[in-house]
Amino acid sequence: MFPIEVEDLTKVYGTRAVVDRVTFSVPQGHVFGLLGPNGSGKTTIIKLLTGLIRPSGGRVRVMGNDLARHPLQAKAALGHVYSGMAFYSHLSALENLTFFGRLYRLKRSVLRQRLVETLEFVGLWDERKKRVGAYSQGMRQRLGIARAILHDPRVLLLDEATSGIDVQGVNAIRELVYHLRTLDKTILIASHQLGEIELLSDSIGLLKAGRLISVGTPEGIKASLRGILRKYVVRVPRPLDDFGVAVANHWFVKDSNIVIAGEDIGSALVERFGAQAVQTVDATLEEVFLWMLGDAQPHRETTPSRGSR
Amino acid sequence: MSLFLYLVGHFASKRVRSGTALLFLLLVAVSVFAGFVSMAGEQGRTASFFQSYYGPSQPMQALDIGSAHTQVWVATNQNLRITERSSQGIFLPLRMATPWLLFILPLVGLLLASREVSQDIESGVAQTLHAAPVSPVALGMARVLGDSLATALLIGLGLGGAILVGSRFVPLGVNSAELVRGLLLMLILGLYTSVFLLVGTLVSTISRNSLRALWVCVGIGLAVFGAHLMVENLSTAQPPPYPNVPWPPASVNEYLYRVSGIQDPMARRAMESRAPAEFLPYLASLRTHAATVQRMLDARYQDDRWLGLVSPADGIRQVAAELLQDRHASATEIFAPLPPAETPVSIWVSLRQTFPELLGLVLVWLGLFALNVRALSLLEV
Repeated sequence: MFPIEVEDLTKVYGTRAVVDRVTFSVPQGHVFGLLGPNGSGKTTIIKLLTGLIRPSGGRVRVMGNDLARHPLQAKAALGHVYSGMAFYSHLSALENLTFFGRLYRLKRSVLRQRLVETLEFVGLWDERKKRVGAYSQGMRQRLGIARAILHDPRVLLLDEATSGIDVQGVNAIRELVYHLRTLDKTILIASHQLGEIELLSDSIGLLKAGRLISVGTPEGIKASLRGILRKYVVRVPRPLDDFGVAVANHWFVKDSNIVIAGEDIGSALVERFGAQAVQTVDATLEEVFLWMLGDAQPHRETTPSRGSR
Repeated sequence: MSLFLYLVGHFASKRVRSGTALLFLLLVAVSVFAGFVSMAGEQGRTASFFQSYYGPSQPMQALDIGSAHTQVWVATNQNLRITERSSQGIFLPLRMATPWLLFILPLVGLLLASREVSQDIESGVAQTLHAAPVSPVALGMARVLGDSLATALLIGLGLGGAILVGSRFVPLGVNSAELVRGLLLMLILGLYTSVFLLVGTLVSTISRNSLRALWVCVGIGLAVFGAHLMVENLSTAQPPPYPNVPWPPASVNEYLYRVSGIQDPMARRAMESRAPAEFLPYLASLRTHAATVQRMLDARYQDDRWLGLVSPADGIRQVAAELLQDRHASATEIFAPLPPAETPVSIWVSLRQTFPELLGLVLVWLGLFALNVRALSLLEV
């Protein structure tokens, strides 16, 4: 049994499948990163995992509890942090957390202790009696973290948790992930920021238009594309176009002089620029994902400072 | 169970602590206070009515209630029957305020509830709430019950506060029976308002948007008012043809004229033995007339009750009229002798009388409650 098990999960709105037969599982103590562009279905998956919306098909199990059959047990094992977390603005942080603590059926003595621990952890203990309405966005997000871990969940879901918040908030979330990892908690992070996912996750799932197109460790994913995706650095002083190099349909040209291609074009480049100028290197994870998300269609990405195109 | 009660308390306190609740409370208080002002005005109007039509005021109590010539005097002097009903205690301000409350309470209830769920969805609190391990049914029930309790508290505070303040300006003699009826009326008004809270919450849940819900609720509020106007117009469009009081024969008229000139009650009573022979048959015809009018009033009352199906405000108004022992207190001139002094009916008789309306109110409440719980449990946030 894995703490998070998702099987053929599907959510259809009208005729459009927002999540399409997604299957994955996250082992105990692992950090799983769900990566995808905006609208790829990350938040919908998180909402399906928390029971906020009902699936059109498939199954979710949290700590062995089927979310459809035993929603209360499954939800009790979950903590949830999402972008722009909201609280009752007329209540103080302490009152808000007390209310949510009661919803998780924490005993009064345990709740008192957890309130102190969590508010100190996110650095809001001194602000605990202030109305949440007067909090900044970053403070609210940190309060959101406190709320998510208040009941000491076995599984934590972070949905775009670092977007739109201050450095302190981002740092608190990273610390939280590192801290929970030491406690053998299972964490699922959904984000469109590769850097964040790469930094924190043990394994990654790449979502595209509601489908999980790749799952594995960063190295594993990169290795799986070795021989399929090639990256060439061409050391010439000017953009490749200036040399009259026609970029074929399957090429992905980055920074003018880096070529990523789905087929071997090394010899053609060597023939044009010479063996000294052409170097074959491993594509970065970002490039791998961009290539995957682009579905190997022609794509150009330029650095504005270079002004190459 | 303790978590459910905690949630009920949470939603009730949320409602009470919201700024709009104060507005609600003030509106209720102002309505009842306006009842006091109307009451003072009504008493003044009644006094001037007697003054202008009958010369110096002749309080009924000063005459021999029930004596033959008093009955004739009352009938022939076109006394308004409504002025004979009790105007003591807390009934009159409540009587004056109830028609207003029957529109203010639903409208404010609808407006308050229109933000109930949609605001939580818009702010994102609903996500945090629904992600918690609490059954959506329990969450929905707690929300609705908490809101209803808070509303009942606000109505109670508004009514109680206004009566307390108003009684310092207008003397009120309150007896325990009136107090029980007054409290019962408040409870029924609370249930009636709760129906509209439930409607507002349902609209809020389905629309998921505060502004859209607000407009729908304003529309429902206007529809309630429109239905009342329609019913009122229907009710008064064709007033029943109340028969005129039979005119006394000349000899009786002359006799009454002589009697009305005698101020001394003993002398008046002595005059009764010298009444003309036509007097007693005339009195009998007056009683027949009174019975006819009473039958027509009862038939109209029953007809008006059916209109409660179209206009909920008018349905509850019938209940209020019964509880305030004010059933026929409409501005209908009834030229008939007064019935013998009525002993107040028991509260159970009043409740039995309005059982269909009360049952309807409870059934509608239960139906809406079930619908709300269903809608909230199906809510996706």
